[in-house]
Order: sequence, then structure tokens, then C-alpha cells
Amino acid sequence: MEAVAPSKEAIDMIKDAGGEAFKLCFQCGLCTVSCPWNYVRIFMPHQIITQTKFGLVELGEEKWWLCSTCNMCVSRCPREVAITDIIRSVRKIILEFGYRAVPKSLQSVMGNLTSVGNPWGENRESRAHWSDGLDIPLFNKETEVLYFSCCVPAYDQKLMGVAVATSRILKKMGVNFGILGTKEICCGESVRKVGNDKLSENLARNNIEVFNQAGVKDVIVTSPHCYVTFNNEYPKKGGRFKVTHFTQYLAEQLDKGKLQFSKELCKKVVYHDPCYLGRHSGIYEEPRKVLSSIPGVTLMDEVNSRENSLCCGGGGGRIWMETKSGERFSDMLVKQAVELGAEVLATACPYCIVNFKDSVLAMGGKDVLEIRDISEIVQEVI
Amino acid sequence: MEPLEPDLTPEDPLKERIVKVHYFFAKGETKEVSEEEAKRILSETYSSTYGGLIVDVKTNKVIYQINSDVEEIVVLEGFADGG
Repeated sequence: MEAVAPSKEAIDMIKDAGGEAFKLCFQCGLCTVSCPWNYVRIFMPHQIITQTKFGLVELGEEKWWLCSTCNMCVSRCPREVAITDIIRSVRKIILEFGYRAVPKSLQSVMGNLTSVGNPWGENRESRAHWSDGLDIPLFNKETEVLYFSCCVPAYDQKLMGVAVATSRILKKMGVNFGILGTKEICCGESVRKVGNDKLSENLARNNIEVFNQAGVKDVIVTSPHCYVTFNNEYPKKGGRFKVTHFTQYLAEQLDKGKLQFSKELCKKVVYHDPCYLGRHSGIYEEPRKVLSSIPGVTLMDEVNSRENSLCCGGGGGRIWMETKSGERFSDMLVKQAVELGAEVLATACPYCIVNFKDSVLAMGGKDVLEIRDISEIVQEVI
Repeated sequence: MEPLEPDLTPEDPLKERIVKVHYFFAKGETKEVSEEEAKRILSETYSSTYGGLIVDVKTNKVIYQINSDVEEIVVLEGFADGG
């Protein structure tokens, strides 16, 4: 295995790549006891910090790719060490000096994003196929709100229903909205988290240019990953617009009395807090408000909810990497929901839904538990 | 000057192999231990949740086992509980 020599040079490389936060760590070990990986295997972030402090970075080690950037460690760290930034900095170094050690599936995703702007390498022209027959206008100067669906609902057949449901709700509420169709591409969040800043920046610049040219001022997003990126990264590159997650929008409309439910949903629903909506963005109440307002719904929390919510395993680029059976956090969450007596596991993130659906499939199919985005539930009862 | 004669004395196979161990942090000490003891130190370091690391001085790499070519190691002790 190749290694970056333990020297000032290696330490400086990590610092330059954004991992300087390691200086603050006083090795309390709280990150290690918080990390969800320790439910399924030994993984010690505080040991990783020691490695980076001394520049003892072995590029071929699998551990650099395990972090799902769920932010549990960062949110609990008494020294506010940005542990995910340290890991991201090492990933950056691996991309530059040890590309062979990058997981193959990730190499392919990065290639696809470079060439066609979506992770699967699908034709760019088919990005808006989910909207066929829905009569959704393309965004123009007269449009008030842009709906940005995220790549997953745009291309993944299992998730297209989320984009369709969101659009139908917006239409039903009379919102003046549009989509950018083939002009929009991936927001660049997951490649940023795997350390590919250049690609992430290119994707962001493309979207910002398209948004600015179209005159976008308000964006509604389905994915919390797009939400975090649009809010935190795009403004640094000249992208200035208001971003609203769809659950925020729904909660706002409830308050205004514009969202009303005409049907019941007599089911036990457990809500899963996505990491990027919860810990990364502090949005905990809005999804619960929407779900608990639906007549008939018995809303439950997971075993670990809100700030303590267990990651589905899809962040930090993990959605594009294989996770061994027995090590999938989403399996644990689905099992917990079933044990709680839930009939529906509801969430508000495409990555969580992909992982939960896969887990349900591995556990014997849809009868085990229904996996639904909040938009799909709301569409059914309005 | 006469060239030095190579030392052809065979190594005593029964002689115990010695590994030099440096403790980097709290203990700040250096000692020479048997290979068995070095293996025990390594095993103890990695089996605890303190997050310590063992570095081979010759290669400057983190190691997870004491092979026959390891002569000198540094123990970077973990500092769980506040350091």
C-alpha cells in the first residue's frame, strides 16, 4: 500500500486540503462512541485524527471511504472539530495521489458527472422525463418558484413518484412554479464530500449560471443534500437565491391554511430524520408538523430521533458505494421501525428512501414496511 | 587502509529477538523488549478503544502486526477520557 510519508509535508498537505481542524482534537473519544459504524464494526474517528496529526495517512485503507458525513461526531464534539472536513481532506489527497484506491463505483460516478452531469451516465435529455404528461412549464421570467427535483427522483424509477407527487401538490395549491428540465444538473454535493472539489465546483458553476440566467429567486428542493449545498456552497460562488425544503414549504402552507387534507390515512407512521435535514440544517419540526396534521396518522419517533437520528448510510458519497450486508444502517432502521409496529416509514430525503427500499427488499418485500416520502403521503390525502 | 572483513559469524538461532519500543506521549520512555512482548504491546494498543497507533520506525508506517523485519516501533498512545 502506498502511504504519504509521516512528515511535515504530509501534515501540511492535509492542512492545505482543509483538514486543519485536527489541531483542536484533545482525544476525548466522543466521536468514536457517537459514530454509527461502531454498531456494525470498529471504526475510530479519534484514531483517524491522530493519524492525520502525524501525517500517517495510508492511502489504500478502506476506512477513508466509510464516513457518511452524518455529522453525529461533529455535533457532539466538545471542541467543535470538523471531523468530516478532516476525512474529506484525506479523500482529496487520495484522489490526487492514489486514484487507484478510490472505490471503482465512485470512479464511475465521477466520470458520469463529468460527462453528462448525473451519476448514472443517463442521457441529459431524459432528465425531465419524470414530468411527462404532468404539464409542468419550463422556468421562465414570469415563473416565481423553481422546483429542483435532485438527480435521484429525476432518473431513478423507484423515486420518480417523489418528484411527481411534489409537482402535483404544488399545482394543486396553485403555485406558480417551473422546472429547468435538461438545463439543470447534479448539485455536486456528494462529489464534494468525496473530495472532488474541482468537479463539485464545475457542477455548481453550471447550475448557478443557469439559475442566474433564468432569473431564479426562489427554489424548492426535494433533497436535503441539495438544500445544504445550495445554502452553504452556492452563495460562495455567486448563487444567491432563497432555498426551501419541501417539508418547510408544506409546514408554511399549513400555517397559512392553504394546505388542507381531504382524506384520512389511518396508519402508524414512523418519521426518520435525514442527517442533512436534521443535524446539518436543524429542520426537525416541519416534517413532524405536516405528518401529525394528517387526519388518522399516528406519528411515532424512531428509537433514536432528531439530533440522535441514526444515519441511513447514504451520505458522504456512500450512496454510490457498496455496503456489505450486515453493515447497512438502513437495515437496522427498517428493523427498528417494524419492531415499533409502524406500517409506514416516512422520510424526506431521496438517499434515505433508496436505502430503505433496498433494505425492505432484502427483508422480503413491501409487506414488511411501506417506505414513503412525505410528499407522496401528502399527495394521497389532499 | 585494509578493507573490513565481513562478519560471517552466524546468528544464534536461540538468541531472543529484541524490539525497541518508544512511547510517544504520556510515558515518554524507550525500552527494549522481546518480540513476544512487542506483539503483546501492539495487541493491547489495538484492542483498546483508546485509539492508539503503532508506527514502524524503519518504514514510517502505521503497522498492525509485528513482522520479523520490525526492529523499532513508536507507540502513539490514545488519550480517551480527555487526554
